[in-house]
Amino acid sequence: MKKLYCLLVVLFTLSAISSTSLTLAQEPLSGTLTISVEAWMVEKYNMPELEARFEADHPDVDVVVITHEGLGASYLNIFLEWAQSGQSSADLYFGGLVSQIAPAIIDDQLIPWDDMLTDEIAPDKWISAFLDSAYVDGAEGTNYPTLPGLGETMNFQYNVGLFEQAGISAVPTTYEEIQAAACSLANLEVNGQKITGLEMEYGLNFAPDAWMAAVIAAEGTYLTPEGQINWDSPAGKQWIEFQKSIVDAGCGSTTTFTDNNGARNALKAGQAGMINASNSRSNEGTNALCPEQGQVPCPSGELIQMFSYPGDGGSMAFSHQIYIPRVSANVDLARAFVREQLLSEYAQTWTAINFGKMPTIWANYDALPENPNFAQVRTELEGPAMGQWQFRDGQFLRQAYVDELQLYLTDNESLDEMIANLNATMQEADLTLPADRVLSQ
Amino acid sequence: MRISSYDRRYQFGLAVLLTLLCFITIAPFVWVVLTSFKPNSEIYTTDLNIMPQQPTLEQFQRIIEKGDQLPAYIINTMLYSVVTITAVSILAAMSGYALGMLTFRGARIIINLILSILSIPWIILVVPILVFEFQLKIWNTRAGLIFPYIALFLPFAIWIMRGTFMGMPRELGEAARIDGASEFRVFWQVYLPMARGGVATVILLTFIDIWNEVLLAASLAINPQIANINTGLRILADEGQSFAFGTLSAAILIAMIPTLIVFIVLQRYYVRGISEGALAGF
Amino acid sequence: MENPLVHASGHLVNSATSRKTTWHLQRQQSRFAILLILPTLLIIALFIGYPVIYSFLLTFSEFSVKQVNWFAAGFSNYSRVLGDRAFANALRFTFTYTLIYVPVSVVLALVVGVLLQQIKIGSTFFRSLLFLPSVIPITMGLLMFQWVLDPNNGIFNYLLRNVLGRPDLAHNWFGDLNVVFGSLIVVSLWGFGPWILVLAGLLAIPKDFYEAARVDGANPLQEFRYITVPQLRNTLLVVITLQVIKALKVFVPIYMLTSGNPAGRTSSLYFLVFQKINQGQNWYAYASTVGWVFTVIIAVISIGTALILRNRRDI
Repeated sequence: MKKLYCLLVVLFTLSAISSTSLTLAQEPLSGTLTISVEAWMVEKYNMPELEARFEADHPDVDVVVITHEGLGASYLNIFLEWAQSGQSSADLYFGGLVSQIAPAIIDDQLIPWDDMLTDEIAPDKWISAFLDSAYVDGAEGTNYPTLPGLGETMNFQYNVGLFEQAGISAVPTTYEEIQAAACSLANLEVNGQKITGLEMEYGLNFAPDAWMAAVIAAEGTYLTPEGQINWDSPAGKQWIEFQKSIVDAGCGSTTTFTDNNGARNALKAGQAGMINASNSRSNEGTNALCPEQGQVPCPSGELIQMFSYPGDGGSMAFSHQIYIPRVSANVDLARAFVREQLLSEYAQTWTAINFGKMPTIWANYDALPENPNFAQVRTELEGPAMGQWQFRDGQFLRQAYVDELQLYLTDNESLDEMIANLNATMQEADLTLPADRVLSQ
Repeated sequence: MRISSYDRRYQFGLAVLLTLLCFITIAPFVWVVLTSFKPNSEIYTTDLNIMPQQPTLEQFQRIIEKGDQLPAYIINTMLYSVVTITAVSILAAMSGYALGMLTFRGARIIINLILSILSIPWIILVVPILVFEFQLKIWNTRAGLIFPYIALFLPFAIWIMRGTFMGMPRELGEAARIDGASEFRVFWQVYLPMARGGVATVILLTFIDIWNEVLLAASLAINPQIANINTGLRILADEGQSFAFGTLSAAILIAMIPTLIVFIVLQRYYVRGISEGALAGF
Repeated sequence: MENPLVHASGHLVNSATSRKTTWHLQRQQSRFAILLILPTLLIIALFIGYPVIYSFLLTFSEFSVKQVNWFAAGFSNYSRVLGDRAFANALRFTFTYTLIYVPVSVVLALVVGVLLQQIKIGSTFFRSLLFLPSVIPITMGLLMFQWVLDPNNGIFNYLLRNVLGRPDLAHNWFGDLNVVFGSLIVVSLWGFGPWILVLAGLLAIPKDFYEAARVDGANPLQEFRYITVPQLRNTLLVVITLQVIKALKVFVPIYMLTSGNPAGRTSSLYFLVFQKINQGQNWYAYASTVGWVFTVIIAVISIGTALILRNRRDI
């Protein structure tokens, strides 16, 4: 009898324990969450503040932010680490464009976000220009291996004051008008110094995107019906010829051949009248030129404003992605952090106001203050926007484009040779897409 | 006194030429120093002035506000130097003694092996070392950088130590052996104390090499927490993104201090150390 | 190079020890030698030997994130190298760079070395200052030059534009295909080449030679021609060999300053391999192949130079 009693007690205790653990399915989060972000994002996404907020909401959680670099082999090493060691340095990664992360998607190394995309972050709540470029065809529930964290469009930006000095009254809408504006800016003298009319991106970081944007604005897509890159696109050729005529006429420089930051530095320093770049440069430029230093937004208004590529109003939209490797040790914490902090109205509007990097969710975009530049980007996002190419050899193709473009611009190659070489390079490249991946589960 | 006035003019001419060369050497430093005392609005501007118009310490302040970042790069590089140099000097002294003073089968093969390692460009080792370190789970750790450093700086150090030991009289060892000294004592008490010069050269050259190492540091230790000074400066340039050179100038000046101290302390060994090292193989 | 084995055993016979003891001593020595060298061999085998073999086998294989298909590629990577325009470009750049950098750097080193040898006042001061570029980490020097030569904000273009009044001479020093080569050479020459080695060679020339020449009434030019040059020959040959190898392996200036641009025309072989590695895991095997072709080129050239050196020394 005593034995039976003991058994009952044990059984009761056991069931009590299991039932409490069942009712506590929403256990308080605990543990250490390691987040790896691209180095520059720490400041521009206010990571210390997000870290503090998350730790305040979850007292048992310790957030550690580490960084990785954006260029070079950094991403490849990270993906190789996951595959070879079966573990990851961080539980959550933030940073990297779709073209850089494509190899990891193709190798099925990321946990899909699909089941988390409900309620206020359901797919239809996102800015489609950003979310669609992260979409990958495949079985239901595996379509979003990455999420766009902060986004940008490609467009033209001009120094309002210098435009006035040069007597340019209307914002240019065609390539001829842009060239005319660039050349009249190039005749301006500031402090006895000639300025540059139009600085454009000729380096690995943006040159291919600038081409994509031009083609999207005019033709809606830069891909052929077979899904290859449409190097023969008339709008693309027109764009490349436009760049050359600006350089040849002396109305633009080629600083960005070797200096990734050449154009934005020139805009920020008031040394360039116009640049062609990602939209956040206008914010940076305004902040740098603002007479009331240190005040954001600048009380004197937006000193740098934008206009879109000639065409039907669309552009190329790219975003810095958020993703969790399958080998992550702390998936729940990572997901909570993304939902509660990275995608929060605070985070997304803070970085837009301070650094011009755009929210990727409409509700957050709507929460932004009035600003002509935010409105301009909005029209581009609502147009026929499209993201970067996602081929496995995406970086190789980008490099090839930059090499050929620089050769063409320095007169060592004709446009036909350039296009022919690009087409030949594309035949060499591995054009596997994320949609072609073989899912392990 | 025609000759002496000729001599004086000759020496004066030499001094002028050398001053010019020194000026070329110093010029970039001067520009960086001037930049480090300017605010951004004077660094990137249409109205450039050589001298700072409103001298400021804000660039240094900004670097310091980044917290332990720059100090970490400097301390990491020091740590890599100390550990690697210690291991390399000990191992090189041991192997150099074995190869230069002792007789054993296979010595010639090992010597040729070490010589051929010297001509391998490190770049071909990067992929295998990456894969290897991922499997050992030491990628992106301090150990993951130190082990390859020891292996890669060893061959040249061995070459120098072997040259040093080969130049020593064999009679001393024979005498000690006849007196019943063990092989270890012959090495430790007879020859090693005489090899101080060679060890100094090894220390110096390894130190310079580590502070100049870019490739492996950029592939194997990419976290700011463990990055060396060269990777670190690139991270700083990358983080600054645009308008980078204000803080970068300040960072360069601060990061230069430790190497300058080592240089000043070891100055008299430099010419001898470097020439002995480079000429050792021939 | 003398054979230590012959040397040591010859010596042992002289010291009149019996054969048996010799044998015993030798056994003891080899055991001790192996003990001394074992840790070195172990670490070299792990971090150099294994990687070398791995990367060589990889040239015949296919690499992906999850597995390596050994020997799946046959010789296809090698035939691909032959048709690769980027490889041809890099080869041309590397050779041109070597052909210009080596003679200029050696002549500069010679000039600085002789100046420092001849000067009697403030020699330590000049030496320390001129040595500065070799003391600070290489990336710092390159970043400083990047800043001095910055097209919009650097002092060099400012001096050309505003002080000399010649805006036509101002250039985008690393972005302009016409001047980038010169800029890279000039930046690599900061520090005036291997003058330390030359100086060490010069200081080793006995002083009496010069004194005797003085007595005979020789001027500095004659001294240089008839004493310095012949006495320095061996040092110079060593210096040239070292500079050739250094130039063939040029990487860091390219990595820091141009990334192979403009138009991939400043990509050295070393940088090309680095760039291919960065293009993706599916490029690892090909990158290794380019790396091995590069290694063979270096080996052939350095063995060639060393042979010339040895022949010259006999003369």
